Amino acid sequence: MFAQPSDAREAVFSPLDRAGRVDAVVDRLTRAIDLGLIGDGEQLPPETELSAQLGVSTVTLREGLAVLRQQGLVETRRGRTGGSFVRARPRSIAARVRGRLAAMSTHELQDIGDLHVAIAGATARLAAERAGADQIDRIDRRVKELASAEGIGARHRADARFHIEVAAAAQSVRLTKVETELQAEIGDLLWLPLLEESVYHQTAVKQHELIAASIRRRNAHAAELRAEEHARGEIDRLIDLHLHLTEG
Amino acid sequence: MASEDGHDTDPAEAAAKLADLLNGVFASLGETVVTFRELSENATTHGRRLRRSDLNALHPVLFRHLQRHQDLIMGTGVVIAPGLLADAPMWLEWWRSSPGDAPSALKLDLDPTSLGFYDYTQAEWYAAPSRGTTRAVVGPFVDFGGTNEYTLAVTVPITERDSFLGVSGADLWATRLEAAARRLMRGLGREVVLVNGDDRVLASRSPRLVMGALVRDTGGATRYPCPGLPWSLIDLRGSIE
Repeated sequence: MFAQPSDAREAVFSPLDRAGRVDAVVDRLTRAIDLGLIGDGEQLPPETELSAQLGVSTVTLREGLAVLRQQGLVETRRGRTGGSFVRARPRSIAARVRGRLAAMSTHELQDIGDLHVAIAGATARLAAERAGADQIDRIDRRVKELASAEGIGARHRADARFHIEVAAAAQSVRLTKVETELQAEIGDLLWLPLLEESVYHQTAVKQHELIAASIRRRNAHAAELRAEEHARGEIDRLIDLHLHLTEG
Repeated sequence: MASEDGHDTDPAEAAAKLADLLNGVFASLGETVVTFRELSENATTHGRRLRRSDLNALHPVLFRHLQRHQDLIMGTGVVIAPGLLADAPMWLEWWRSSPGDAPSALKLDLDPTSLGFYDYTQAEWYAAPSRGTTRAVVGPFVDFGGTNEYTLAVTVPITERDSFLGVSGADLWATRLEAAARRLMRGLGREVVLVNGDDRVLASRSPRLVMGALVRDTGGATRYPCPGLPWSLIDLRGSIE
């Protein structure tokens, strides 16, 4: 494919860590497909639009798309109705989530988990002090959503929305942003259908109920302790899952 | 004689002035409603349903409002009742101003199966007008998945022959509203705070009660409602803190 003159200029003047940028593009789009943010058969935005959104040159984007094509995640059709289309199969989502967890290190998981203990504890404490009545009701609804959720995608969504709702009830833009990023980064790993996932699901629902009840009673100290305990349980599960996958 | 803290303003008078802060925004939202109704009636006359492209006709009105209220609002638009448009199950025609640049459309995730799904039907600023509230002022709240800012939402219903078509609204920078409110509270004592319907602080001159905090145990406090808004000034001198 011929690069347009402007693309060539971009390529010349793009930062030297182009390879890193290509990886970042691949990683972002893979993550979006894994999370179901871009569904099977869905067309990706035009290259100029997508590259602008990702903050990369169209050359970098095309290299990223080529990698995704090789992995079978994206299919490019030519012609008037052409473009890049997502090819995601439900079974391959669990496989990719497993692959991501296996590729992380125990120290990295511990580190991310430590951050989540800090964020979950702080947001729960502040939510107990600051949540409005409607926010408390919404947090309760999120607990029920997780209780009835089945499968990685639905459980991840319900779990993530609970934590993000608590962070928003804390009235903090920054804590909400960090919580949202954490949920996108590790939230789905927890719900792999391995190591008695139904027992873990019940435990997590119970812990969410306790956090929600402490927030409702405006018991900031209890909310913080229970959220920290819950987040520490998440680290244990992630490391267990990681060891299970890597040690077979 | 005014004290050091300037206790020379009557709280009831200040409450009335604070209520006027949003008059201009509400007037603009009303203009959007009128334009939207014209589009809807026009579509009905031609025997067809509204489409997303019809809403382009709102742009000049919305851009004018962004310009007019740039000191207070970050975005404005209409949020459509699910099922109304022929070509989208849910839709927001929402535009944000960007300093020194043309307005940009706010694009939100409206896919119910995705992590970032922005279900506006669950949001109080949408639900309240759909239940018949004629002027809704909601917040401050963290608008996650939406503007991702600390926000106040101001909305009015769009109705046509008793059916609810959606809302016309604007989102306000919480920080800018606070600054504007605090200017009007300058002559009041430090114990007087502006709160919303949940007794959440909108503006105060006390470092212990900043915007976003909940004021509790307001039993003994004197309250001065802001006419037409769910806000009031409360004088905490009489309450047990």
